[in-house]
Amino acid sequence: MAMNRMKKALRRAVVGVAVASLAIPAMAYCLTGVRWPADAGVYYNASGKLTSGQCISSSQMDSAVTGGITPWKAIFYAGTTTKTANKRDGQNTVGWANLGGQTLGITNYLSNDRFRTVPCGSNLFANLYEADVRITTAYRWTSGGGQCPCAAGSAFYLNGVSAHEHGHVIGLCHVNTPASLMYPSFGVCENKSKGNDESQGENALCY
Amino acid sequence: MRGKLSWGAAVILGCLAVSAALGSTVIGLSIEDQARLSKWIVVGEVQSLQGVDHPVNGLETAVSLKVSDVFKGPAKAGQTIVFYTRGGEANGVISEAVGEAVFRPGQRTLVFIEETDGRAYNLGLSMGVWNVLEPTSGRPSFSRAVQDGLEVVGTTPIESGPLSWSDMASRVGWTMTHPDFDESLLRDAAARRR
Repeated sequence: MAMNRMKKALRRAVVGVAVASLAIPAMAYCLTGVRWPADAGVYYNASGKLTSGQCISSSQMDSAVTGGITPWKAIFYAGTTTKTANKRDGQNTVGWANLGGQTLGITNYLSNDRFRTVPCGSNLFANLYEADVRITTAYRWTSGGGQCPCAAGSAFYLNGVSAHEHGHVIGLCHVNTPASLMYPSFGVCENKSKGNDESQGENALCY
Repeated sequence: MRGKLSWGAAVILGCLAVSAALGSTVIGLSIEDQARLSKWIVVGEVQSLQGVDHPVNGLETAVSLKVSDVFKGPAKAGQTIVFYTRGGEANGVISEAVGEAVFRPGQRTLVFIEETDGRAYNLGLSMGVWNVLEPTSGRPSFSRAVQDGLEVVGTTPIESGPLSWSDMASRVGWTMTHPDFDESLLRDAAARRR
């Protein structure tokens, strides 16, 4: 009798775990543990941008970079700047740099609290105050307004890379869902944009 | 079922993670292509770390490495070379470059080093850095010291090792006589630079 009760309880537990595991893809986001205490402006420094040999025009490149900022709730495009990325200067900057032969983009945290003190839902977060993004000048870019491959050759989607990097800037980390913007791998000529997973992540960050 | 549970656990653990793992993006490359991009490939011991504030590139760390073995490049055993990482601490300000390699004094490491605008950097953030695994006898082997937060683009599988000393030496050596990149994007980028 007792054995039967145990078996039933075990069966319920297994079913419960199975339901829970099936429900997880509906919340496929990951939080880094930081969040912005208030909406943060991100400035764009277009200097150093390489416009020759691209699949898109100079203005399309600018739009693709800034277009990667605007989908997110916690940050907004604040205009252009002459300030340099990876400097602590009170300004969140996305800009261009020669990042060498293998690196397409780098996100740098420049100021954040080390301790989590900010409640949001059932989690605690640390405040983030400044983050910069650098995008490489070494490779060819395209965007939703361009072709891929284009006459010049294969390229990466600049809007997708910018949106992905700024997803990290708002406090999202990588997920294990290949279709998601925050999946840590994508291919040449593969375009992605913010979707439901990322929106749920924003909600979980209380933005 | 088992896979789903493991995946679910990974997501939950990720959601509870304390560290601030942001992301940086690198192209997935073969070891051969990494070797072709590198000016130096050396094994050595980290002597010191020094934060610097570069006028253009921002906060970086100068890593002094005492070379013990050279797979590629104009370096000799016993020589100390300096390369930079893409984040650092200077004047009380910390810049954390996500996915960048982490070094500590005394650490023995294998580093692929490229030269960008006349300055030496480890190649592809932590993708260019390998742990040296010391065996009880014989030569060490290597395992890639990739850090959390790297996004990898492209279709090339990433080898994490362990890779034996002789394998690493022969694969790097092969690129000396076969300089054309495997990855078409690299061939394309090289042509653009010419």
